[in-house]
Amino acid sequence: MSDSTDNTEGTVIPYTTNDPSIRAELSEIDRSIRSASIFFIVSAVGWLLLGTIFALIAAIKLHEPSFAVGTEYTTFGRMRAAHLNSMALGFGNNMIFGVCLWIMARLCRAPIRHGGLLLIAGAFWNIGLTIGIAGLIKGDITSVEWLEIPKYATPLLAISYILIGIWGVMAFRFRKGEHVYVSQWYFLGALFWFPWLYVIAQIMIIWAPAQGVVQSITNWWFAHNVLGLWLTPMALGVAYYLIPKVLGRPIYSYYLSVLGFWSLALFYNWAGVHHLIGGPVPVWLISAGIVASVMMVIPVVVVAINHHMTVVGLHREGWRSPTMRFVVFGAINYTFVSLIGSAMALRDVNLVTHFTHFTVGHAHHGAYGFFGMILFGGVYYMMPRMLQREWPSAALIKIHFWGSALGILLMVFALQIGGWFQGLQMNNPEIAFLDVVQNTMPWLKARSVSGFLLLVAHVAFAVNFFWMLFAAGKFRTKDTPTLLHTQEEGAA
Amino acid sequence: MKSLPLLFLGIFFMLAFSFTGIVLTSHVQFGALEQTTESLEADENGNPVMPEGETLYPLREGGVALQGKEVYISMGCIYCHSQQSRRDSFGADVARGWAQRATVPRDYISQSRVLLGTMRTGPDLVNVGGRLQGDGGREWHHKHLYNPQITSKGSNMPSFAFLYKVQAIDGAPSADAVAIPADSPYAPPAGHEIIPTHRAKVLVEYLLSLKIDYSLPEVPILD
Amino acid sequence: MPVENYLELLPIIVLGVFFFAITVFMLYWAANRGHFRNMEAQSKVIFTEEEPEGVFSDSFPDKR
Repeated sequence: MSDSTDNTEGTVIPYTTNDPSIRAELSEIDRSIRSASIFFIVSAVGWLLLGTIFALIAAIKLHEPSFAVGTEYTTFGRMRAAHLNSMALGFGNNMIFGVCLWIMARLCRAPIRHGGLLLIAGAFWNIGLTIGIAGLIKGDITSVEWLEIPKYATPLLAISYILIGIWGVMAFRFRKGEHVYVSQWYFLGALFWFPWLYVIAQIMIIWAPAQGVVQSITNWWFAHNVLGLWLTPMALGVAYYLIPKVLGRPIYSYYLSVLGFWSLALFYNWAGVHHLIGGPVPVWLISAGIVASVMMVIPVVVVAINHHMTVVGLHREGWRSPTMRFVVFGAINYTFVSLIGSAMALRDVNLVTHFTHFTVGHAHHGAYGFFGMILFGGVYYMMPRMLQREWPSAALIKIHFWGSALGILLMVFALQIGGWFQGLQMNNPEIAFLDVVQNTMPWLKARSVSGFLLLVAHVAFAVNFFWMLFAAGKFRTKDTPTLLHTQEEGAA
Repeated sequence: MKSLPLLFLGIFFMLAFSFTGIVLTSHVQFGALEQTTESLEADENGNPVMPEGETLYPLREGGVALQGKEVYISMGCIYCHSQQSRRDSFGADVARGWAQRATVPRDYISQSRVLLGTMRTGPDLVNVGGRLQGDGGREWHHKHLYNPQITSKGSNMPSFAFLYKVQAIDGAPSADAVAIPADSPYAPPAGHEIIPTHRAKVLVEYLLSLKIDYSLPEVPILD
Repeated sequence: MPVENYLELLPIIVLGVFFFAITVFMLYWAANRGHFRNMEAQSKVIFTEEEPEGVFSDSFPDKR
């Protein structure tokens, strides 16, 4: 076995064993979770395409206000909410259920139990979300950010979620082997945090609304924590698994991972109120939120060091892996979006960026540039192992990568430059509001262009994915270093 | 980092800590806020009390305006319009005339759904009823909602024409008709008028009701 | 808007101190129980016989 790592300790712990009663082979585990994972990714791809269409409609409306105004069903507010929920809950959560639960199963080193539970949960999730999004388009939108889905659909989501959470905890509880990997802490943390956040927010804002701004404070504690305690740890867990896995080299510093995990858990939680700076909330709370937002630099830098040092020296090889392109792009953007986010929490910066398109750019930078790209990388790694086939087209993978990378970078630049000017002008009472609006137009048009790039990327992804799924038997691989050949033929 | 109970405890505490600190503490601090008079006076012992007979603010929401709020929520207006005013030294909300003071937690205590908002694609609306009042305000809002270009050329707000009906004028024009000048490119065809539906009317009443025209002891109106 | 009375923050400050103390204790307890020994070995659990350490495990489908 060639050893290109430079980070081996003195003794090698025998974590592989030939005794099948102790540890299952990865291929066996992969087989056991196959139906569930494929189901989730198929759902995710469907929601991704739908969410991209909603996004384009909303984006075009902002610079062509007479676009699609014939009915109330396509009014901007509802299209935007349909986009957010399709992407966050439809694409995001299904990708998480597909990729992260698979990685969790692998790390728990036993074939999964109760795969049927996952399929039922997945069905409930998709049904609940479909009813919810149809309902919000119809007009039952709650107008609570990140909780737009009407009351009649959310219990279905809650049930589905609880089933998945239980499955995750049980998988961990019945794991084989003593060692726990960093990705598992992140996944477990997220699996625990999300349902608590969701249920508390639903109760205190929708079902038994708290008085006045307590709703808003709860809302942003919830919504920001969806980003920080659900999407972020899931994506980080995937990156911590895939970067070393693809390169064949362990994570640079495991101790740093421990620090990174707990500092994220501590600080991210308090940052959410930065959405309310300047608003009708107590100053001490805002200050705590700003401090926490700035302290987030610690876990972000820790993760950056860890990932960078793991990749150093192997960049060229990394570029040759589709998974690595997406995951590393995502990991680099994690650093940037978080540093920008910490800056946005500072009062003098927030004075300009609050209420502008700058924030929208930031949200997409994190949700797509970081989370989305890493999860795409996860799918590129996972699917060949699920289907025992290679991806049919390298060209489509490249179109996906470049379309997504250029699309999101264009979007972030356009919205943040345009948003910065928008904020400066809004704070200047000499400038008429309609002039401020007109000045945002070129940037909003650039954002629509970026949306088309993303649409192309997503279509390329979907075509490649379904081609792989349905073209049975065609692309069985020969000598690529995946799990698709026996060890003797392997490129060791 | 190997034991499930230990991990679980740590994970639980992290969330419990922020939940208590952020959500519960605000609930305790603001959950008990009540209406008050615009200013307080000192009683015999020097303690601040509310003077007798004065109006309590913020006013309770209700009536037609509350129905209009349902329309505001259903249309997703919050995604372009905020309803909060920052203090004078932090931004230009007061300088632009959007409000005469900062809004504070007490301003929102009578709202069953708080719509603070986080985007200003359009102007802040917490005091739009202070800027556009009475019948003149109604007329402006109906024209603006029917087609924003009529009152605000170059605006990127979409048209809400689906909240209006175009109907043939039957004898005399009806009192409700939206007052679009006949030579405007957005005017209805000759012999027709534009009538707001019930939803449009209540929405406008809601917008007229959004006023921060009162002081509070913690934040008096600036002159 | 200033807090009228900083005593209202007392519960959260007390909770914070308590929490900090618990955290320090838990870290100490975990260290004593050997959780932090040999951590680097834990970073290798992702490698197995099928996908071993030192081997690149992904590439484009048209490349070797």
